Amino acid sequence: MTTEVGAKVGRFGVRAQALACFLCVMASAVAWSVTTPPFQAPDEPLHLAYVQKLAETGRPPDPSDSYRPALSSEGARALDAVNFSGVIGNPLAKPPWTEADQRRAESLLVGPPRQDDGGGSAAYSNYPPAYYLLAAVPYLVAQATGASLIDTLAAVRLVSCLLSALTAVFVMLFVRELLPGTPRAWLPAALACGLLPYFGFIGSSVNPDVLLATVCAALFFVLARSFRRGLNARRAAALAALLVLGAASKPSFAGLLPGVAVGILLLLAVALRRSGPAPWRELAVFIATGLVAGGLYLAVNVGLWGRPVLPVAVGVGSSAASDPARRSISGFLSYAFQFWLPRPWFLQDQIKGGGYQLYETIFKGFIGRFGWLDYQLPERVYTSVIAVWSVLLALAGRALWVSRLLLRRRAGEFLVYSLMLAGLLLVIAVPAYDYRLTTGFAFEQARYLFPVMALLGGLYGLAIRGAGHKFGGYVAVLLVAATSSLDLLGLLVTVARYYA
Amino acid sequence: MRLAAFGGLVGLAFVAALAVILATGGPGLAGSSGVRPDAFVVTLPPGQSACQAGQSLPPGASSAQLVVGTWARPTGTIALRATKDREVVARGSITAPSGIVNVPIKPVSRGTEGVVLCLRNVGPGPIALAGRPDIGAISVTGRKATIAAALSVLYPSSGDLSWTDQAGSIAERFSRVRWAPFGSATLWATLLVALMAGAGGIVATVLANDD
Repeated sequence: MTTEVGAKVGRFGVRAQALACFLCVMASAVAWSVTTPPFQAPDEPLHLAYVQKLAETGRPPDPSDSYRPALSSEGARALDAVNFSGVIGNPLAKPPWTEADQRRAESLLVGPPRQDDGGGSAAYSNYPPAYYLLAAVPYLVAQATGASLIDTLAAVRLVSCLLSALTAVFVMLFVRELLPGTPRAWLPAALACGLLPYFGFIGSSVNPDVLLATVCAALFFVLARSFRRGLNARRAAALAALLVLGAASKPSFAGLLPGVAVGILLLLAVALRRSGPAPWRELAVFIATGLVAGGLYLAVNVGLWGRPVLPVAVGVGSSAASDPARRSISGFLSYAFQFWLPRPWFLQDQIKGGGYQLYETIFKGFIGRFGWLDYQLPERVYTSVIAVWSVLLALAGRALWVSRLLLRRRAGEFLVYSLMLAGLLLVIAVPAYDYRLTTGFAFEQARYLFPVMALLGGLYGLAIRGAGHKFGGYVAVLLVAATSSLDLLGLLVTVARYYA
Repeated sequence: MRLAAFGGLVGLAFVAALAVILATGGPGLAGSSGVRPDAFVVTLPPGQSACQAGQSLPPGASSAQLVVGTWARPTGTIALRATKDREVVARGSITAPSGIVNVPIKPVSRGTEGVVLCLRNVGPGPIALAGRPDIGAISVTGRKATIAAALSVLYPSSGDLSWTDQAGSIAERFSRVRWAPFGSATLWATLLVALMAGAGGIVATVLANDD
């Protein structure tokens, strides 16, 4: 699994490939951002309310202010104008369709309703502010041009599109470090991730998961590069900065930290064992960057805004809401087991009537479940994708088997990636167990796995490698074409859901 | 070179599949009351009517689709009358068994807003109509108080419609109350961008592999 650093591929160098990857995924995300009706993406009204509060007042929402509404007057009117509450969860209901609907909506949007009276306690009001700070920029630009909140939403969505395109580029760079001997796999593996319809849908909506995906893809890339080329000062600084940015993006980033910590220790250990200078300079740069970036974040978030140092997700079946007597370690382990694997007969059914969750929630969700999870692709599409993925898994398995001797040398690196994945699953499972006990409904959504999108890229890359030199190119072309077809189908299904 | 030809073929298949999807027909929807048939919300004895004001009669509608329960009887008969300022804008009736029932009406050429939609049980046994409880108001003949519920009504278009048949209407609807810089052409521009993303991805993959 090694080759020349920066190897050129066909007519495309790495930079050209990265640019192509960025443009294709950006184009797909923009198409999704225009196609998805305003606010018809998970939790988008509340996330936009956060952006609005931050942009209008210079302060994020106050999680302790339960008197103030989460939405501003303008936000509430905009939701009414697009028939938000009528449309979500009801496939028969449509957003404004007719001229009369349009007139009604315009009458609701007329006048200067208050923009700064929202920002009270809501499910996401204590989320860290990094994504919302980025999103506040297009918000302010759009507002300066006199745009309505609905048009402003379109501008804010563009930030997510940019971040999604960047995520795909980082996935490509990660695959490049993971499989340096298979240049033909780098771009198609990233495109097959970036053009997934669900990634386009969520990746073009106003949602902090989008920034988290970008930060985590970059983190995987920097770690992989450090494992392959060693930890230098620049990579150490990048790692520290990404850790702070991840912490400032979404609480679930914490799940990746144990794996990253092991990774950094391994990198330092490797550097110490090598002949040459000890990596104290790199360690110093890492600590200094972390202190500066972390200090800056804490100064603003804690010092200036008075928010908690460690944000905890609220409104998702908090511990206080559920009956402590029903919660137990064995119950949690049983729940986590039967969520991911078929339930053996001796475990009590904790997911009653929900079907096999790995398939129903994660797999189908990851391929494409849209809106407020109220419509999806035709059922036969999912079964077709299972067939294709089975072939890809077999090819990836072949690649791993053929390279098994080389794999041993990189066991530490793969352990780090496995720990990052396991940590993320654990961080998702803890509130999910509580939520299931409290409400009986599923908390898990496929988008919570976006932070490990790079690993999916790696799997695709391995499959292309496993197809061998003769057929790898064909598999790559088919993979990208199939994913693009899914993407287009997802868009058409979305148009049909709301407008046909 | 072989891979480029293969990429071209795959691209063509991609476009052909899209053409098939766009040409595929299915029942088109002219509009709906926007209410899901969650439960039977009104029961009408023979001869009684349920009316709901503030309804839209969408252009292109050729029938009104209801979810009807006929209780123990094999069929029920229902008559529909839609009025605007007491002038009848649509009417129709049908005898059908329980389930999804399409009441045929004369195809609507121009949509009408603010319609009062009345459904009358003209059969011998009671019938129930589905909708959503707790929203809206349904007045029933013989009752003083209205029922807090809304009726579920779909308005299918006449015949099966392909995407291309509905293209104009869909593009028009797509441009309502949202950012649509090119008006009703926004939908086409959007799909073109998505198509270019896919085609660009295939071309880039071929170039990246073409050594």
